[in-house]
Amino acid sequence: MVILINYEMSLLNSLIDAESIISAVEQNVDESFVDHKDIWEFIHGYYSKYSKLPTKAIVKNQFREFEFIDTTSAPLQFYVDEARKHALSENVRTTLHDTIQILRDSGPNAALNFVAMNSLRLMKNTGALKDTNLAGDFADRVGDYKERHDDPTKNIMGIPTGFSVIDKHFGGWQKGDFIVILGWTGSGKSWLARLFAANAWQAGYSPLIISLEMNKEQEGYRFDTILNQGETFRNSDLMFGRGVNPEAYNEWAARTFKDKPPIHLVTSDGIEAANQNVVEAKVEQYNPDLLILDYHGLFDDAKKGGTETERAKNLSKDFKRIAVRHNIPVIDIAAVTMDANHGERAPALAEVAWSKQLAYDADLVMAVHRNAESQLFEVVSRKVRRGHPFAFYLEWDLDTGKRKELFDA
Amino acid sequence: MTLTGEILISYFETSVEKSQKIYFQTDKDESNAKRIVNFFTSKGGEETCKAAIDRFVSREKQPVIFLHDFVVKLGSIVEEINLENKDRDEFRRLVQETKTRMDGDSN
Repeated sequence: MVILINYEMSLLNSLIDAESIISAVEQNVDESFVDHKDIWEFIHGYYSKYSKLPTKAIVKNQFREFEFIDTTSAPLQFYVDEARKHALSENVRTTLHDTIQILRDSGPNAALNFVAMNSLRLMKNTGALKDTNLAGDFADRVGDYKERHDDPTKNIMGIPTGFSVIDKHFGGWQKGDFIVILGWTGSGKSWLARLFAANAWQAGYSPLIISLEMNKEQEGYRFDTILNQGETFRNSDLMFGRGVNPEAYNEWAARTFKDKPPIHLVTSDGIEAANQNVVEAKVEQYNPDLLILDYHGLFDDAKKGGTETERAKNLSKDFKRIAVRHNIPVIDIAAVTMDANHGERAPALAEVAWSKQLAYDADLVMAVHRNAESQLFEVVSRKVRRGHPFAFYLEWDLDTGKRKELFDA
Repeated sequence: MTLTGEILISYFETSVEKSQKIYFQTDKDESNAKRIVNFFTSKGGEETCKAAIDRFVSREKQPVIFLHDFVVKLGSIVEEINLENKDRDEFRRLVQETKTRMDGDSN
């Protein structure tokens, strides 16, 4: 049995004994060094320069604290795993210690934020990224394909969007997708995002909507309008408390929502700071199938980016990571550069407000446009990472909720 | 109908009235109108000219409108209209392409 006392020193010795650092570098061993990072950097730099590892004598000559340890009794991977475990324990201890300090100095919100940020960083560094052997697990893919092939209602890979065009051109909302909706003020982008949520829900999926623009009541009535499609009431009936019999509304709602998946809504009145950590916490709390973020510019940046551009960039990267890490599609509504004279057209990719990062990170960018108060929406893809670009008209009465996908205006 | 300076002034006047603003005529308007007509002969014709006038008039925040101010803002408004027209054509083309692809997939 190998008993390790100095994990980092053992790993350094093992690396030199193994005469190769490639597998260690591939495993991001860099993060395992806390006390002797300088020695690791020296070894790494030496290898990069001379394509050969230094001898232990050379290392000792450079760093007096370097110790000779015989590590030949176990493979390199053992030392990598042990050092990683040790480094993680050390980092967790440090984080907890600092958290208590922050709790004392700055209060619970700052401490929670600190814990959340550091937990994510540490989890990332543990090698918890989902690795897979594509050659070895082909059977999973074949099984998934067979399931969709045999059931025509499931022939798209992702969650149905409710639009045949998007389903056929993009394959529905798939796990890890980051979708951005662009539009000028009043173009209906928030409505469109709710429509996607409603369509997913009707197909049996549970959406989570984080809305920093509207309150719970407005959101609820809007959702009901989309689902009801004018059968019992209009949005204006619900907003102004007239036109529909409360009994009829109740009967419709009881029938519609009975035994269905939840629709979770988080509004800004329920949270103190809406940043990427809160978003991730809510995802962990509700475990949704689809996440809607409304809208990008209203979220706080937990990383405290100095400028609007930095904040937008940090949020974009983290929302994309949340999509990938939690295996859910994320739909992010983005503002566009405010130009009073933007004219009568859908915004272009270059007009995303503050940061181009959103466009880089997105798997699909859709622009939505309508002339003032028109019921004819133009939906056009501005970036499609998989599939073909697309465009279609959407005839949609927002008051009744009635809608139709069109190819002729 | 061929666009003339006279027609342009008349259209300008009507557009201003529709927006419930006041067209303040000056001595230079006639010669300015002729210059604008010449400009539009090479930049998209009568329809673009009328669209540009309507857009200018509706955007002006002051109640009193001068033709001279339209001349100053003409370049950017025309550029904007041309961009929109191009975008609209591109959108229609993409809609048709999407439709063709959808029809092809369902066959």
